[in-house]
Amino acid sequence: MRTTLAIILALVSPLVFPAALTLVVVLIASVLVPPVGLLAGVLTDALYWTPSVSVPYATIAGLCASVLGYAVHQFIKTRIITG
Amino acid sequence: MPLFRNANPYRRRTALIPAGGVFLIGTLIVLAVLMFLLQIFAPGLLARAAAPVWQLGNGIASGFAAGTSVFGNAPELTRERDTLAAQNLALAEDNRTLTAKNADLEALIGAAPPPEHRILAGVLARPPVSPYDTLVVDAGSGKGVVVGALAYGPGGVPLGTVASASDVSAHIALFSTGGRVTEGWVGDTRIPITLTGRGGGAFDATLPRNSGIAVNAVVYVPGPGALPVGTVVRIDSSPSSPRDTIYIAPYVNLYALTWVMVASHP
Repeated sequence: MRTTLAIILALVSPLVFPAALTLVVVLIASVLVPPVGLLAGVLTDALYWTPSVSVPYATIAGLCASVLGYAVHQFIKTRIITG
Repeated sequence: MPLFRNANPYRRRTALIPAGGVFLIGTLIVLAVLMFLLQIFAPGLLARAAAPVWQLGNGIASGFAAGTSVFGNAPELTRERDTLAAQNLALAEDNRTLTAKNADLEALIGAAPPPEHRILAGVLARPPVSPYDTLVVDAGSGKGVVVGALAYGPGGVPLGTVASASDVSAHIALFSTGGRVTEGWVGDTRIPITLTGRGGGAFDATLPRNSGIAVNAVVYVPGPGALPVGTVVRIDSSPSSPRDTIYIAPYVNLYALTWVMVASHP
């Protein structure tokens, strides 16, 4: 249930929320489901990126969110961080 | 009793491979790749699928704004309404005067060329939802939108140019996109300046010191003629620098845009 909600929220937020809030939502969702950060980043660039923007910043930010979320996710699972 | 709870080595957790959810992780990665490929081979399809969600979000935002207006201060709202009504009357009178003057000038020197054909497009997504300071509109190449065409906001204020267009939607890169450079003019004497976008509709530019430009000077960009886009709101000068930095606020509130007009040719 929590996983499903995190995925849905992370994928809907680029369509509804301001970019800064979307980043926060995606970071939190990435802790629960790490790959959702990359997916949300690719979705954001698929919707909004144009050739006038040289670098797909959303995809890069999504990848960083996934990596960070994966690290926190593993630390929580192995009880290094108590979640 | 085993010393370790998970004595079976095949069930031992590792730091690299999670104990569960491999299928979910793989599915999400495959979805990300598919989405990337979809945008390359079928651009606009995702925008078409996302359009109902954007429209729902816009409807909720406008409904929320209308609902919260109930809690406004009634005397203050009444004062604001009266002020706006008076300004409206004054602007209507100015408009009548200018229309009459224009008619006189056309009679003297001949009629102006017919205005270019423009395409009406609804704004599906705008800043700050759109992270790259772009607008997503619901008119694409199917309606005649071409890359490079100018887009205009309310009052004919130029906003930007079409950066990409699919069959049913288009992306408009705003002049105020961070780092975008646009040539323009400022003031009644039309001093040439180079506008640098700062995002959210704002620009800045530099001018030689003592150029005579003051706050509230009008800033123009090229289009058919010189088109006003905003006004100077602040001028920063430093004794150690030969140039002043001017900050420009737009006429159009990008965060409240609902419709734009797109020229039919670049």
